[in-house]
Amino acid sequence: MYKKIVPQIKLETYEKEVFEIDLDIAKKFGKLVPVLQELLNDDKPLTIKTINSGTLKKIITWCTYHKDDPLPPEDDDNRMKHSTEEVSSWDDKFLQEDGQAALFDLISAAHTLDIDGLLDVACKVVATMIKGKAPEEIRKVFNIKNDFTQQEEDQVRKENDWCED
Amino acid sequence: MDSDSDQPCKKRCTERDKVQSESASDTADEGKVQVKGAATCSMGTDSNANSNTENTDRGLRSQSPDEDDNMQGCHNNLQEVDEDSRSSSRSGSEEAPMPSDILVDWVTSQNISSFTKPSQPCRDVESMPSCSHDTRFSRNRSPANIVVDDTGEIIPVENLNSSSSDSDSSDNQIDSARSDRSESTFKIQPSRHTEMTLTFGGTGSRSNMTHTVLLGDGYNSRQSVKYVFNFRSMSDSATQTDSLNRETTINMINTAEDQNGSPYFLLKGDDSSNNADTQFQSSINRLPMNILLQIFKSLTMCELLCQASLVCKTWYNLCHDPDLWRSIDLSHQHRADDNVLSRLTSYSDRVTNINLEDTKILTSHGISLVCVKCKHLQKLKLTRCFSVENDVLMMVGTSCKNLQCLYLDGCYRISDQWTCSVSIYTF
Repeated sequence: MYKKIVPQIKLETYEKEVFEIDLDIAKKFGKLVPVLQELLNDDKPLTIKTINSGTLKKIITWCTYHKDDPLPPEDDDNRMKHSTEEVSSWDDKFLQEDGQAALFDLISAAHTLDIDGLLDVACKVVATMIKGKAPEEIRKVFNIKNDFTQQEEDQVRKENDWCED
Repeated sequence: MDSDSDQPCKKRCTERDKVQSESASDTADEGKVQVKGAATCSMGTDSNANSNTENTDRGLRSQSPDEDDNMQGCHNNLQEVDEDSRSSSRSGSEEAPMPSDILVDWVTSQNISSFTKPSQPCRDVESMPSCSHDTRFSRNRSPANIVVDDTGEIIPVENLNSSSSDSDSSDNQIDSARSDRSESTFKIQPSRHTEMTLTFGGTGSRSNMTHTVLLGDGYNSRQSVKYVFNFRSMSDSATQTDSLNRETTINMINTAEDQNGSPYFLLKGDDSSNNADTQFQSSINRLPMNILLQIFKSLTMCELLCQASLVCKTWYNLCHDPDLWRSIDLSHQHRADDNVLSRLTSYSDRVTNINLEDTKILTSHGISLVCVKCKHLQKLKLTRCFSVENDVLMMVGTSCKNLQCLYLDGCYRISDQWTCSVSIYTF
């Protein structure tokens, strides 16, 4: 008779903190899938220097919450439909609660670990931050410097003045 | 080291021969080249345009017969370059090699001066050796070697355009200085360089490194220009250098005869290798380009053109990325004319989906031209495009071999036997 043990892998963050992650959560990390078996057998944690502890914690929370989500559809048509779906209010709140910097860290980390679902949702959240804003407002929100000259800016405006919502 | 620098040089020799033999046929065969610069917006200053013409004149006059000399020069030059950046890279403290993916994009606008957001001020602009070299770009020598250190710096356009008495130098090179930035833009205004070597060197590697290189060409008329790009990571270990060679060859032909400016293309090396010191960056522009693109994919066409593209030059470029323009929806855009349609379809060379429902001022001729251009078109919606006549169907039938879906409701000028002819051609 044996005890049921949840297999776990170990990840070490930038701050050298070691996280133990359940295998079914770790399976969502596309980058890790090919090495999962190795990691399971290995007692040494895998170090991911680009991810800090806070971000990894968030990623684990997100993946745990979305553990039972269906896999994204394979074919293009359905993926298109999938990609226009609204972001759920839980996701929206969860991703924005720690501010912009944390969100971008999360996006970078999701990109590094290849977590498609999270990346999708986070990008959509950023897109909603852009939508409906004038260029000046967008610059303010993201702290971007305007490097157009007035002449160039007028030119771009003129070029697109046919466009109506 | 020697063998290292020999290789690209030989390659360029052969490339060069090819260019010359092909240039005639390229001019004739539009399908071969990947030009989308025909319909462009002009944002340039007059001084730019002037120097273009000047360069062209010079370039045409001196179709240099002393090619061997040039190649020799290039060889030597390349060695110099190697050593230069190696020594500079040794002095650096970082270690991993650089760019991984190279994307080549067309910037659809002409004469946009330097294109990037300096999100962080450059540390040592003054020490940038490029300022002493870049004037050589206005000379008629080729090829040009541009060495870009791992962090890079903007090369001011004015400097590139100004000519100097330094006419004997056969090497054209830009070494960029180290600065604490993960993104860099280079704009080069060569006079008649049919080949250029861009070397992205340096041992250091910052996360999300992006190099953007804008090349302008001085040709106004139908000329074929070929650029060879060498993406080499200079590091202390020769094996790493070898494994990171990248070469991209671009055929460029400017077919728009009425165009006064010159097309630019944008070359981006995106290195998303990991490095700890960038993890706390907050600015949105520090995200990898493909992530920004994914974000932009959620925006509508109007949001892209009227809001995002006006934010900064980096965004302007991204908003015109081919990936975003595979599908074009002009439905209910009553002010969209033929020029607009032609411009939008020129952003990507694989437009698969065009929706022109309820557009008012598009002409049958304009739509025909676009159909000829978009050979990968799969879905075309012409619902209530009242101007559409039989010739559009003719073009769709002969050009769009991949067409799967064609909506013609409300196109009352199209006669029944013509719709039959489309089905014979395509289905």
